[in-house]
Amino acid sequence: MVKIAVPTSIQGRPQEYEEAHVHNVYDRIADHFSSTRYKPWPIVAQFLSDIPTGWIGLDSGTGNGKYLPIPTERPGSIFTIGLDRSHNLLELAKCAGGSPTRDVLRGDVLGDYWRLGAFDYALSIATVHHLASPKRRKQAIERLIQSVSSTHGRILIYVWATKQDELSRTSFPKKACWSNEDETRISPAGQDVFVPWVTQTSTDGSVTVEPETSKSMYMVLNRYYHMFSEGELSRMAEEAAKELDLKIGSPDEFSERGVKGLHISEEGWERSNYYLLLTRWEK
Amino acid sequence: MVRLITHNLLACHAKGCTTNNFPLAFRDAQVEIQEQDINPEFVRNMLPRLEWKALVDAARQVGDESLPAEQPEMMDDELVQKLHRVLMEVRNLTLSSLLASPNGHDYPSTSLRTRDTPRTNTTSLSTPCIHVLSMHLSPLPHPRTFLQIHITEGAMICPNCEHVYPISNGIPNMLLAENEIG
Repeated sequence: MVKIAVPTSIQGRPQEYEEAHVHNVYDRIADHFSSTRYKPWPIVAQFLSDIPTGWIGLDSGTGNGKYLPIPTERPGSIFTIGLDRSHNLLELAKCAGGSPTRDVLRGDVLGDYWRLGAFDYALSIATVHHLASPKRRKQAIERLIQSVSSTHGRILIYVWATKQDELSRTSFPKKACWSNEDETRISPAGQDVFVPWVTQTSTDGSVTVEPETSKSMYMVLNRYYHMFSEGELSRMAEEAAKELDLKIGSPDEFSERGVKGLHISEEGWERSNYYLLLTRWEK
Repeated sequence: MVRLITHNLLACHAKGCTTNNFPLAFRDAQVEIQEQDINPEFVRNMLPRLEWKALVDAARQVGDESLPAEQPEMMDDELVQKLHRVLMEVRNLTLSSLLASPNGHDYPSTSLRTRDTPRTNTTSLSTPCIHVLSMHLSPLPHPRTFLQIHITEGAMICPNCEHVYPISNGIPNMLLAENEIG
Protein backbone atom coordinates (compact mmCIF):
# COMPACT_ATOMS: atom_id res chain seq x y z
CA MET A 1 0.00 0.00 0.00
CA VAL A 2 1.17 3.51 -0.72
CA LYS A 3 0.92 5.92 2.18
CA ILE A 4 -0.14 9.46 1.42
CA ALA A 5 0.84 12.39 3.59
CA VAL A 6 -1.39 15.44 3.57
CA PRO A 7 -0.40 18.73 5.22
CA THR A 8 -2.47 19.64 8.24
CA SER A 9 -2.48 22.22 10.98
CA ILE A 10 -3.11 21.68 14.66
CA GLN A 11 -6.48 22.86 15.90
CA GLY A 12 -7.39 23.15 19.54
CA ARG A 13 -5.28 21.89 22.40
CA PRO A 14 -2.42 19.60 21.41
CA GLN A 15 -3.42 17.00 24.05
CA GLU A 16 -6.91 16.67 22.58
CA TYR A 17 -5.56 16.69 19.06
CA GLU A 18 -3.23 13.80 19.96
CA GLU A 19 -6.09 11.96 21.65
CA ALA A 20 -8.18 12.16 18.47
CA HIS A 21 -5.49 11.74 15.83
CA VAL A 22 -2.91 9.51 17.52
CA HIS A 23 -4.13 7.57 20.57
CA ASN A 24 -7.60 6.70 19.30
CA VAL A 25 -6.25 5.75 15.89
CA TYR A 26 -3.62 3.38 17.28
CA ASP A 27 -6.11 1.72 19.59
CA ARG A 28 -8.38 1.04 16.63
CA ILE A 29 -5.75 -0.13 14.15
CA ALA A 30 -3.53 -1.98 16.67
CA ASP A 31 -3.79 -5.48 15.20
CA HIS A 32 -3.39 -4.49 11.60
CA PHE A 33 -0.71 -1.92 12.37
CA SER A 34 1.22 -4.51 14.31
CA SER A 35 1.12 -6.98 11.44
CA THR A 36 2.93 -4.40 9.29
CA ARG A 37 5.54 -3.55 11.92
CA TYR A 38 7.60 -6.60 12.71
CA LYS A 39 11.00 -5.89 11.23
CA PRO A 40 13.43 -4.07 13.49
CA TRP A 41 15.21 -1.13 11.91
CA PRO A 42 18.93 -1.89 11.62
CA ILE A 43 20.22 1.10 13.60
CA VAL A 44 17.81 0.37 16.45
CA ALA A 45 18.81 -3.30 16.50
CA GLN A 46 22.48 -2.27 16.53
CA PHE A 47 21.89 0.19 19.39
CA LEU A 48 20.35 -2.59 21.48
CA SER A 49 23.04 -5.12 20.51
CA ASP A 50 25.69 -2.70 21.80
CA ILE A 51 24.05 -2.42 25.25
CA PRO A 52 26.14 -4.18 27.96
CA THR A 53 24.68 -7.18 29.78
CA GLY A 54 22.75 -6.26 32.93
CA TRP A 55 21.51 -2.90 31.72
CA ILE A 56 17.87 -1.89 32.13
CA GLY A 57 16.11 0.28 29.55
CA LEU A 58 12.91 2.05 28.60
CA ASP A 59 11.21 1.84 25.20
CA SER A 60 9.07 4.98 25.25
CA GLY A 61 6.25 4.55 22.73
CA THR A 62 6.89 0.82 22.40
CA GLY A 63 3.90 0.16 20.10
CA ASN A 64 3.71 -3.57 19.48
CA GLY A 65 6.92 -4.07 21.46
CA LYS A 66 9.01 -5.32 18.57
CA TYR A 67 12.23 -4.01 20.16
CA LEU A 68 11.59 -5.54 23.59
CA PRO A 69 13.07 -9.01 22.78
CA ILE A 70 16.21 -7.56 21.13
CA PRO A 71 19.06 -8.53 21.10
CA THR A 72 17.75 -11.96 20.16
CA GLU A 73 21.31 -13.30 19.82
CA ARG A 74 21.80 -12.98 23.59
CA PRO A 75 18.35 -13.37 25.13
CA GLY A 76 17.87 -12.19 28.69
CA SER A 77 21.08 -10.15 28.68
CA ILE A 78 19.32 -6.77 28.92
CA PHE A 79 15.86 -5.83 30.13
CA THR A 80 13.74 -3.34 28.20
CA ILE A 81 10.45 -2.08 29.63
CA GLY A 82 7.79 -0.92 27.15
CA LEU A 83 5.70 2.22 27.68
CA ASP A 84 2.76 3.20 25.46
CA ARG A 85 -0.61 5.00 25.56
CA SER A 86 -2.42 2.43 23.46
CA HIS A 87 -3.91 -0.36 25.52
CA ASN A 88 -4.48 -2.54 22.46
CA LEU A 89 -0.88 -2.20 21.30
CA LEU A 90 0.35 -3.04 24.81
CA GLU A 91 -1.65 -6.26 24.77
CA LEU A 92 0.42 -7.21 21.73
CA ALA A 93 3.68 -5.83 23.16
CA LYS A 94 3.26 -7.99 26.25
CA CYS A 95 3.76 -11.08 24.11
CA ALA A 96 6.40 -9.67 21.76
CA GLY A 97 8.89 -12.40 20.86
CA GLY A 98 6.75 -15.12 22.48
CA SER A 99 7.45 -16.48 25.94
CA PRO A 100 8.47 -15.12 28.43
CA THR A 101 6.13 -12.16 28.58
CA ARG A 102 7.48 -8.60 28.43
CA ASP A 103 7.03 -5.91 31.05
CA VAL A 104 4.87 -3.11 29.68
CA LEU A 105 3.20 -0.10 31.24
CA ARG A 106 0.37 2.12 30.06
CA GLY A 107 1.46 5.72 30.26
CA ASP A 108 2.28 8.90 28.42
CA VAL A 109 5.71 9.62 26.97
CA LEU A 110 5.52 12.98 28.77
CA GLY A 111 4.74 11.24 32.06
CA ASP A 112 7.27 10.78 34.83
CA TYR A 113 6.83 7.40 36.45
CA TRP A 114 10.38 6.51 37.48
CA ARG A 115 13.02 7.05 40.05
CA LEU A 116 15.28 9.77 38.64
CA GLY A 117 17.79 8.27 36.20
CA ALA A 118 16.45 4.76 36.80
CA PHE A 119 17.42 3.45 33.36
CA ASP A 120 20.73 2.77 31.66
CA TYR A 121 19.26 3.37 28.22
CA ALA A 122 16.12 4.68 26.62
CA LEU A 123 14.80 4.48 23.10
CA SER A 124 11.95 6.31 21.48
CA ILE A 125 11.31 5.05 18.00
CA ALA A 126 8.73 6.73 15.75
CA THR A 127 6.99 8.33 18.72
CA VAL A 128 8.12 11.92 19.36
CA HIS A 129 6.75 12.89 15.92
CA HIS A 130 3.22 12.16 17.16
CA LEU A 131 3.31 15.01 19.71
CA ALA A 132 1.38 17.99 18.46
CA SER A 133 3.46 21.00 19.53
CA PRO A 134 7.17 21.90 19.54
CA LYS A 135 6.98 22.35 23.32
CA ARG A 136 5.61 18.85 23.84
CA ARG A 137 8.17 17.31 21.49
CA LYS A 138 10.94 19.01 23.44
CA GLN A 139 9.40 17.84 26.73
CA ALA A 140 9.39 14.27 25.44
CA ILE A 141 13.13 14.52 24.81
CA GLU A 142 13.63 16.02 28.29
CA ARG A 143 11.78 13.05 29.80
CA LEU A 144 14.05 10.62 27.96
CA ILE A 145 17.14 12.46 29.21
CA GLN A 146 15.82 12.47 32.79
CA SER A 147 14.92 8.80 32.69
CA VAL A 148 18.50 7.59 32.13
CA SER A 149 21.57 7.55 34.35
CA SER A 150 23.42 10.87 34.53
CA THR A 151 26.77 9.06 34.36
CA HIS A 152 26.35 6.71 31.39
CA GLY A 153 22.75 6.83 30.06
CA ARG A 154 22.32 6.23 26.34
CA ILE A 155 19.34 7.44 24.30
CA LEU A 156 18.23 6.68 20.75
CA ILE A 157 15.48 8.80 19.16
CA TYR A 158 13.94 8.17 15.74
CA VAL A 159 11.49 10.51 14.05
CA TRP A 160 9.95 10.83 10.61
CA ALA A 161 11.83 13.13 8.26
CA THR A 162 10.73 15.57 5.62
CA LYS A 163 13.51 14.03 3.54
CA GLN A 164 11.92 10.87 2.19
CA ASP A 165 13.58 7.78 0.83
CA GLU A 166 13.09 7.33 -2.91
CA LEU A 167 11.96 3.81 -2.13
CA SER A 168 9.55 5.08 0.50
CA ARG A 169 6.02 3.92 0.11
CA THR A 170 4.76 7.31 1.15
CA SER A 171 3.57 9.56 -1.62
CA PHE A 172 3.18 13.30 -1.36
CA PRO A 173 0.71 14.87 -3.77
CA LYS A 174 2.73 17.65 -5.38
CA LYS A 175 -0.04 20.18 -5.47
CA ALA A 176 -1.11 19.68 -1.91
CA CYS A 177 2.29 19.19 -0.40
CA TRP A 178 5.76 18.91 -1.90
CA SER A 179 8.10 16.47 -3.52
CA ASN A 180 11.63 15.57 -2.64
CA GLU A 181 12.95 18.05 -5.18
CA ASP A 182 11.17 20.82 -3.33
CA GLU A 183 13.06 20.16 -0.15
CA THR A 184 14.50 23.65 -0.04
CA ARG A 185 10.97 24.97 0.38
CA ILE A 186 10.41 23.01 3.55
CA SER A 187 10.58 25.19 6.60
CA PRO A 188 13.26 24.47 9.19
CA ALA A 189 10.39 23.94 11.61
CA GLY A 190 9.32 20.77 9.79
CA GLN A 191 5.86 19.94 8.56
CA ASP A 192 2.65 18.77 10.24
CA VAL A 193 0.85 16.10 8.23
CA PHE A 194 -1.92 13.55 8.34
CA VAL A 195 -1.22 10.04 7.14
CA PRO A 196 -4.55 8.33 6.47
CA TRP A 197 -4.92 4.73 7.54
CA VAL A 198 -7.59 3.16 5.37
CA THR A 199 -9.51 0.30 6.89
CA GLN A 200 -12.56 -1.75 6.23
CA THR A 201 -15.26 -1.84 8.85
CA SER A 202 -17.21 -4.99 9.42
CA THR A 203 -20.77 -5.10 10.65
CA ASP A 204 -19.77 -5.46 14.29
CA GLY A 205 -17.90 -2.17 14.07
CA SER A 206 -14.47 -3.70 14.49
CA VAL A 207 -11.70 -2.63 12.22
CA THR A 208 -10.32 -5.31 9.97
CA VAL A 209 -7.79 -5.46 7.19
CA GLU A 210 -7.43 -2.94 4.44
CA PRO A 211 -10.04 -3.14 1.72
CA GLU A 212 -9.42 -5.29 -1.31
CA THR A 213 -12.60 -4.37 -3.11
CA SER A 214 -14.39 -1.12 -3.69
CA LYS A 215 -17.62 -2.62 -2.39
CA SER A 216 -16.41 -2.56 1.19
CA MET A 217 -17.15 0.12 3.71
CA TYR A 218 -14.09 2.31 3.93
CA MET A 219 -13.06 4.11 6.99
CA VAL A 220 -10.19 6.56 6.95
CA LEU A 221 -8.38 7.23 10.17
CA ASN A 222 -6.02 10.17 10.01
CA ARG A 223 -2.84 9.77 11.98
CA TYR A 224 -1.01 12.96 12.92
CA TYR A 225 2.75 13.25 12.37
CA HIS A 226 5.20 16.06 12.66
CA MET A 227 7.81 15.51 9.94
CA PHE A 228 11.15 16.79 11.19
CA SER A 229 13.35 18.93 8.99
CA GLU A 230 17.09 18.41 8.85
CA GLY A 231 18.78 19.41 12.12
CA GLU A 232 15.48 20.04 13.90
CA LEU A 233 15.79 17.00 16.18
CA SER A 234 19.33 17.77 17.34
CA ARG A 235 18.47 21.44 17.92
CA MET A 236 15.57 20.30 20.05
CA ALA A 237 17.78 17.89 22.02
CA GLU A 238 20.21 20.74 22.70
CA GLU A 239 17.36 22.93 23.95
CA ALA A 240 16.14 20.07 26.16
CA ALA A 241 19.66 19.62 27.59
CA LYS A 242 19.83 23.34 28.30
CA GLU A 243 16.52 23.19 30.20
CA LEU A 244 18.03 20.46 32.35
CA ASP A 245 21.26 22.43 32.96
CA LEU A 246 23.38 19.98 31.02
CA LYS A 247 26.44 20.99 29.03
CA ILE A 248 26.33 20.03 25.39
CA GLY A 249 29.35 18.30 23.96
CA SER A 250 31.76 15.47 24.57
CA PRO A 251 33.11 15.02 28.13
CA ASP A 252 36.66 15.68 26.85
CA GLU A 253 35.71 19.28 26.19
CA PHE A 254 35.11 19.97 29.87
CA SER A 255 37.47 19.74 32.80
CA GLU A 256 35.62 21.02 35.89
CA ARG A 257 34.61 18.36 38.35
CA GLY A 258 30.91 17.76 38.96
CA VAL A 259 29.83 19.09 35.59
CA LYS A 260 27.06 17.12 33.84
CA GLY A 261 26.50 16.93 30.15
CA LEU A 262 24.90 15.42 27.09
CA HIS A 263 26.83 14.33 24.05
CA ILE A 264 25.24 13.97 20.63
CA SER A 265 27.24 10.88 19.73
CA GLU A 266 25.61 10.31 16.37
CA GLU A 267 23.13 12.03 14.14
CA GLY A 268 21.82 10.60 10.92
CA TRP A 269 19.13 9.82 8.43
CA GLU A 270 17.91 6.33 7.63
CA ARG A 271 14.98 5.32 5.47
CA SER A 272 12.93 8.51 5.71
CA ASN A 273 13.76 9.05 9.37
CA TYR A 274 16.18 11.19 11.32
CA TYR A 275 17.84 9.60 14.31
CA LEU A 276 19.89 10.86 17.20
CA LEU A 277 22.12 8.96 19.57
CA LEU A 278 22.71 10.78 22.86
CA THR A 279 25.02 9.91 25.75
CA ARG A 280 24.87 11.40 29.22
CA TRP A 281 28.08 11.99 31.16
CA GLU A 282 29.19 13.37 34.48
CA LYS A 283 32.68 14.51 35.51
CA MET B 1 3.14 -8.24 32.57
CA VAL B 2 5.05 -6.61 35.30
CA ARG B 3 7.93 -8.07 37.26
CA LEU B 4 9.37 -6.84 40.51
CA ILE B 5 12.36 -5.46 38.57
CA THR B 6 9.98 -2.97 36.93
CA HIS B 7 8.19 -2.23 40.19
CA ASN B 8 11.59 -1.38 41.71
CA LEU B 9 12.07 1.47 39.21
CA LEU B 10 8.62 3.03 39.57
CA ALA B 11 8.01 6.15 41.64
CA CYS B 12 4.93 8.36 41.95
CA HIS B 13 5.20 11.86 40.50
CA ALA B 14 1.57 12.91 40.72
CA LYS B 15 1.05 16.61 41.39
CA GLY B 16 2.79 17.69 44.59
CA CYS B 17 4.16 14.21 45.29
CA THR B 18 7.91 14.62 45.62
CA THR B 19 9.01 12.77 48.75
CA ASN B 20 8.37 9.29 50.16
CA ASN B 21 6.98 8.41 46.72
CA PHE B 22 8.88 5.10 46.41
CA PRO B 23 8.33 2.16 46.50
CA LEU B 24 4.69 1.80 45.52
CA ALA B 25 2.83 -0.71 47.72
CA PHE B 26 0.99 -3.64 46.16
CA ARG B 27 -2.68 -4.08 46.94
CA ASP B 28 -4.79 -7.11 46.03
CA ALA B 29 -1.89 -8.41 43.99
CA GLN B 30 -2.35 -11.56 41.96
CA VAL B 31 0.81 -13.32 40.95
CA GLU B 32 1.82 -15.59 38.14
CA ILE B 33 5.06 -17.50 37.86
CA GLN B 34 6.65 -18.00 34.42
CA GLU B 35 9.74 -20.05 33.68
CA GLN B 36 12.67 -18.32 32.15
CA ASP B 37 16.26 -19.33 31.47
CA ILE B 38 18.67 -17.84 33.95
CA ASN B 39 21.29 -15.40 32.76
CA PRO B 40 23.63 -15.10 35.79
CA GLU B 41 25.68 -12.30 34.25
CA PHE B 42 22.53 -10.25 33.74
CA VAL B 43 21.45 -10.75 37.36
CA ARG B 44 24.89 -9.83 38.75
CA ASN B 45 25.31 -6.71 36.60
CA MET B 46 21.73 -5.54 37.00
CA LEU B 47 21.51 -5.80 40.76
CA PRO B 48 23.32 -2.53 41.69
CA ARG B 49 20.56 -0.70 39.80
CA LEU B 50 17.88 -1.90 42.20
CA GLU B 51 16.94 -0.73 45.70
CA TRP B 52 17.42 -3.86 47.79
CA LYS B 53 15.03 -3.07 50.64
CA ALA B 54 12.23 -2.11 48.25
CA LEU B 55 12.80 -5.36 46.37
CA VAL B 56 12.68 -7.53 49.52
CA ASP B 57 9.54 -5.75 50.75
CA ALA B 58 7.80 -6.07 47.37
CA ALA B 59 8.71 -9.77 47.13
CA ARG B 60 7.23 -10.34 50.60
CA GLN B 61 4.08 -8.47 49.65
CA VAL B 62 3.52 -10.97 46.84
CA GLY B 63 4.34 -13.98 48.98
CA ASP B 64 8.06 -14.58 48.42
CA GLU B 65 10.34 -14.59 51.44
CA SER B 66 13.42 -16.08 49.85
CA LEU B 67 15.54 -12.93 49.95
CA PRO B 68 17.47 -11.86 53.06
CA ALA B 69 16.49 -8.50 54.57
CA GLU B 70 20.05 -7.18 54.28
CA GLN B 71 21.81 -7.34 50.93
CA PRO B 72 24.60 -9.94 51.23
CA GLU B 73 28.04 -8.68 50.33
CA MET B 74 28.79 -11.84 48.39
CA MET B 75 26.77 -12.61 45.29
CA ASP B 76 27.06 -16.40 45.38
CA ASP B 77 25.36 -18.71 42.92
CA GLU B 78 22.53 -19.45 45.29
CA LEU B 79 21.66 -15.78 45.63
CA VAL B 80 21.85 -15.32 41.86
CA GLN B 81 19.42 -18.23 41.48
CA LYS B 82 17.05 -16.74 44.02
CA LEU B 83 17.19 -13.34 42.40
CA HIS B 84 16.56 -14.79 38.99
CA ARG B 85 13.45 -16.49 40.22
CA VAL B 86 12.16 -13.46 42.12
CA LEU B 87 12.90 -11.12 39.21
CA MET B 88 12.41 -13.06 36.01
CA GLU B 89 10.77 -16.43 35.99
CA VAL B 90 7.33 -17.88 36.07
CA ARG B 91 6.69 -21.54 36.76
CA ASN B 92 3.69 -23.79 36.89
CA LEU B 93 2.71 -23.45 40.48
CA THR B 94 -0.54 -24.62 41.87
CA LEU B 95 -2.45 -22.94 44.61
CA SER B 96 -1.95 -26.01 46.77
CA SER B 97 1.83 -25.68 46.64
CA LEU B 98 1.46 -22.15 47.95
CA LEU B 99 -0.89 -23.24 50.67
CA ALA B 100 1.07 -26.23 51.93
CA SER B 101 2.53 -24.82 55.07
CA PRO B 102 5.10 -27.10 56.63
CA ASN B 103 6.96 -24.24 58.24
CA GLY B 104 3.92 -22.23 59.17
CA HIS B 105 5.26 -18.85 58.14
CA ASP B 106 3.04 -15.94 58.86
CA TYR B 107 2.43 -13.89 55.80
CA PRO B 108 3.81 -10.49 56.70
CA SER B 109 1.74 -8.10 54.66
CA THR B 110 -1.52 -6.73 55.94
CA SER B 111 -2.25 -4.97 52.70
CA LEU B 112 -3.25 -8.13 50.86
CA ARG B 113 -6.71 -9.56 50.97
CA THR B 114 -8.11 -12.90 50.00
CA ARG B 115 -9.61 -12.77 46.57
CA ASP B 116 -12.37 -15.12 45.70
CA THR B 117 -12.07 -15.01 41.96
CA PRO B 118 -12.17 -18.03 39.69
CA ARG B 119 -8.87 -19.24 38.34
CA THR B 120 -8.26 -18.22 34.78
CA ASN B 121 -7.90 -20.65 31.92
CA THR B 122 -4.40 -21.49 30.90
CA THR B 123 -2.89 -20.50 27.61
CA SER B 124 0.55 -21.21 26.23
CA LEU B 125 1.80 -17.97 27.75
CA SER B 126 -0.23 -17.73 30.85
CA THR B 127 -0.14 -20.08 33.77
CA PRO B 128 -3.06 -20.04 36.19
CA CYS B 129 -3.09 -17.04 38.45
CA ILE B 130 -1.83 -17.70 41.91
CA HIS B 131 -3.99 -15.79 44.32
CA VAL B 132 -2.01 -14.28 47.10
CA LEU B 133 -3.78 -14.84 50.35
CA SER B 134 -3.39 -13.06 53.64
CA MET B 135 -2.92 -16.30 55.48
CA HIS B 136 -0.20 -18.78 56.33
CA LEU B 137 2.03 -19.28 53.34
CA SER B 138 5.10 -21.43 53.26
CA PRO B 139 8.23 -20.55 51.41
CA LEU B 140 7.90 -22.29 48.07
CA PRO B 141 9.64 -25.64 47.57
CA HIS B 142 11.89 -23.89 45.05
CA PRO B 143 11.98 -20.25 45.88
CA ARG B 144 11.10 -17.98 43.04
CA THR B 145 13.41 -15.17 42.01
CA PHE B 146 12.02 -11.74 41.51
CA LEU B 147 12.44 -11.92 37.76
CA GLN B 148 10.08 -14.91 37.61
CA ILE B 149 7.25 -13.30 39.52
CA HIS B 150 4.72 -11.43 37.40
CA ILE B 151 2.01 -9.29 38.94
CA THR B 152 -1.12 -9.73 36.85
CA GLU B 153 -3.90 -7.97 38.75
CA GLY B 154 -4.29 -5.59 41.65
CA ALA B 155 -2.92 -2.12 42.19
CA MET B 156 0.13 -0.17 43.27
CA ILE B 157 -0.38 2.58 45.83
CA CYS B 158 1.88 5.58 46.40
CA PRO B 159 3.01 5.55 50.05
CA ASN B 160 2.86 9.36 50.12
CA CYS B 161 -0.17 10.65 48.17
CA GLU B 162 -1.97 7.27 48.05
CA HIS B 163 -2.55 7.55 44.34
CA VAL B 164 -3.79 4.19 43.03
CA TYR B 165 -2.17 2.76 39.90
CA PRO B 166 -4.35 -0.17 38.86
CA ILE B 167 -2.87 -3.33 37.28
CA SER B 168 -5.17 -5.14 34.90
CA ASN B 169 -4.34 -8.15 32.75
CA GLY B 170 -0.68 -7.70 33.65
CA ILE B 171 -0.52 -4.05 32.55
CA PRO B 172 -0.14 -1.27 35.14
CA ASN B 173 -1.92 1.93 34.22
CA MET B 174 0.35 4.85 35.12
CA LEU B 175 -1.71 7.50 33.30
CA LEU B 176 -2.67 10.48 35.43
CA ALA B 177 -5.65 12.75 34.88
CA GLU B 178 -4.68 16.18 33.63
CA ASN B 179 -5.23 17.81 37.03
CA GLU B 180 -2.99 15.19 38.67
CA ILE B 181 0.04 15.81 36.45
CA GLY B 182 2.80 17.46 38.46
